[in-house]
Amino acid sequence: MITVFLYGKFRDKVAGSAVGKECFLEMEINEGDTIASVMERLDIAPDDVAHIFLNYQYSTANRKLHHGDRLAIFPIEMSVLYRQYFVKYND
Amino acid sequence: MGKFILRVNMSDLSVKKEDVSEKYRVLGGRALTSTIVAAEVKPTCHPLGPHNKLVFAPGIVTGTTAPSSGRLSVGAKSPLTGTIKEANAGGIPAQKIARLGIHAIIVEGLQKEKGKFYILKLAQGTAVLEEAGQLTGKGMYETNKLIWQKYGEDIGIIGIGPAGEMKMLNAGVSCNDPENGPGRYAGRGGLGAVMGSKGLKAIIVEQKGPGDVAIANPDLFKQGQQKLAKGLADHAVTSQALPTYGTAVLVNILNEAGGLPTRNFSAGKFEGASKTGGEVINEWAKTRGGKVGHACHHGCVIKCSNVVNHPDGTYHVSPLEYETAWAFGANCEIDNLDDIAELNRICNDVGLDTIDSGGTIGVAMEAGIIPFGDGKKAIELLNEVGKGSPIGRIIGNGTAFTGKAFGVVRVPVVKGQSIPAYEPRAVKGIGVTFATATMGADHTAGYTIATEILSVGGKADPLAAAEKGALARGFQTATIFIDSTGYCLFIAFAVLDLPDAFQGMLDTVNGVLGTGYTAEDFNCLGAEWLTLERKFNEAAGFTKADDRLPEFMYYEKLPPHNHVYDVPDEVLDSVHSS
Ligand code: SF4
Repeated sequence: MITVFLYGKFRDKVAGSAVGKECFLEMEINEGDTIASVMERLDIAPDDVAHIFLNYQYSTANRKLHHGDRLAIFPIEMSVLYRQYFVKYND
Repeated sequence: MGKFILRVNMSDLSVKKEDVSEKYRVLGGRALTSTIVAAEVKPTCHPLGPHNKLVFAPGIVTGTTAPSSGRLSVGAKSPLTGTIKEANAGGIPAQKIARLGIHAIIVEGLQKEKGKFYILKLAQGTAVLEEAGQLTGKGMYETNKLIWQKYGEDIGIIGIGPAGEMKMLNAGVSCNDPENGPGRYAGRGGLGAVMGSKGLKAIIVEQKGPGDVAIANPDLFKQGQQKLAKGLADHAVTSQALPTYGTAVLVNILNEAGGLPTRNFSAGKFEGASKTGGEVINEWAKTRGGKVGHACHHGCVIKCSNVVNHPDGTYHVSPLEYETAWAFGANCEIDNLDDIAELNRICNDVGLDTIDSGGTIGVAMEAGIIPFGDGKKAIELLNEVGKGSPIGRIIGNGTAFTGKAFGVVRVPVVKGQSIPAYEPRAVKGIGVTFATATMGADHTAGYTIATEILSVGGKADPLAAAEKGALARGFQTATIFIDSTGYCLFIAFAVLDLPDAFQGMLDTVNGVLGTGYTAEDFNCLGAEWLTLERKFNEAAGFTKADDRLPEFMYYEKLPPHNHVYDVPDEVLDSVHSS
């Protein structure tokens, strides 16, 4: 099980979510799951993502997930960055 | 139209016009205030005594049609830090001052009659001192209202509230926005106390229309303006994120980075972050009225500002920025944004810097004066400042002073100035900037935060200690240059990423001045001005030992990363050594 925190328009993926409240999903993960595979399951396109944080580390989408992980995803509208310049944690 | 410098002597109440030397002609903003302060102020003087001077200077391109360029720099020796100081603000006065042909205003001496305040009235061809009369003792909201009533709408106002009149170390200098709100502050470093010490309540600027700002090479200027405007329109940060969510979008981002200082810098993550960030401000603009995408002055195309309303839809405060949402929010564990907005409003009215005020309340909470998380008690406590009560005077003197008054060890300051909203133990490069900036802990001194969390302008790993020194200096020189042009520092997001936008910025500067500065000159000039500021500080008694973060950060691990600050002293010392 991991917890996925969603911001901006991604909040709409959680029924009953409201701005001003933490918006998160608990998700089962399978052996070999990565941030990218979880995003796919959530129907989040990579191009639509500005920032990913895994356990408070700025991350690429190809990191493997483990039980108990905290994942946070910010949409492109909350982008305040040129992503190619950022050194991201990678596995 | 020839430019001139106004020298205002508060001892004999004279106002004199002086010619601008060739050396000063090519300077503006921070470069000009710091050059004048370094030339005319004895570094060892008492900041509130007769030998300090307060200098106001619009930037090099301020007053022209260049986008987002209406900044006013205010400089002096700081009573809060004891260092040289420049703080700048948007709002409407800077463009008007520039359009009157005023290159800088130097305020010197002390008023003869203690407790008496004056206003400096500027208009085309005139500059006079008048008694402040009924404005004395008034908060900034009423001050601004009375001035517009008496002298007409759209007057530019630079003023101090009661905190400045009482010479409190955390008093800022207010500039009014287009709606006459007092929320655009040159807040940091106690410059409001310097203004108060001289008996100057306000500078009011009457000027309408585009004025007549000299542009040496209009074609080059125009070309540069177009390039820069295009860059700002193309870049996602300046065209989308800032106008939609404002700077407070960073509350959730820094929280997820584990770098949002919480509970007086004892954690990097705040449970209530979601309730206090830019998304809520954006939502309220729809449900309560108010505004996002607000411009703090005419001609800003980025529009990061906002207007935040009460639940009943009436005006509460403008702007509510990231630093303020954090200072009174996560830092005090207050998760009620209406309470945070009220604390912001009190700062604007009494005339206080919001960052240091939030730092102060956090330290007062640490001391047990009021509980963490109690917004209503925080409002009561901050309201004491304007009354000048004994506790109010402690709070009004800022974070470092309050820490000493109550025997607190965890006091988040560098050179007496409170650390802004980026936790150095999680974002180590910005710690280098906080430690080594010429003005005390200052998030605008160098944009390492942009590289590290926002990823603008280079590569950096937020948790690695190596090469932070060179990085910090590079950003400090870039920053001082932008602070001298009159452009809002937020253009950095675009100009550091887009070569054309950068060239556009340079072209506008060269266009106005008739110079031929290259990108390399840009670095050299920035480095030169930075050295000037460092020299002032050295002569004032500052050494390497002052370029350090507060000791607790070196031994208290900060959750969730559980890191201490481990950038070696040699890295900090290397920033300014070459
Ligand atoms: S970007 Fe924001 S702070 Fe800068 S000039 Fe525009 S409104 Fe003012």
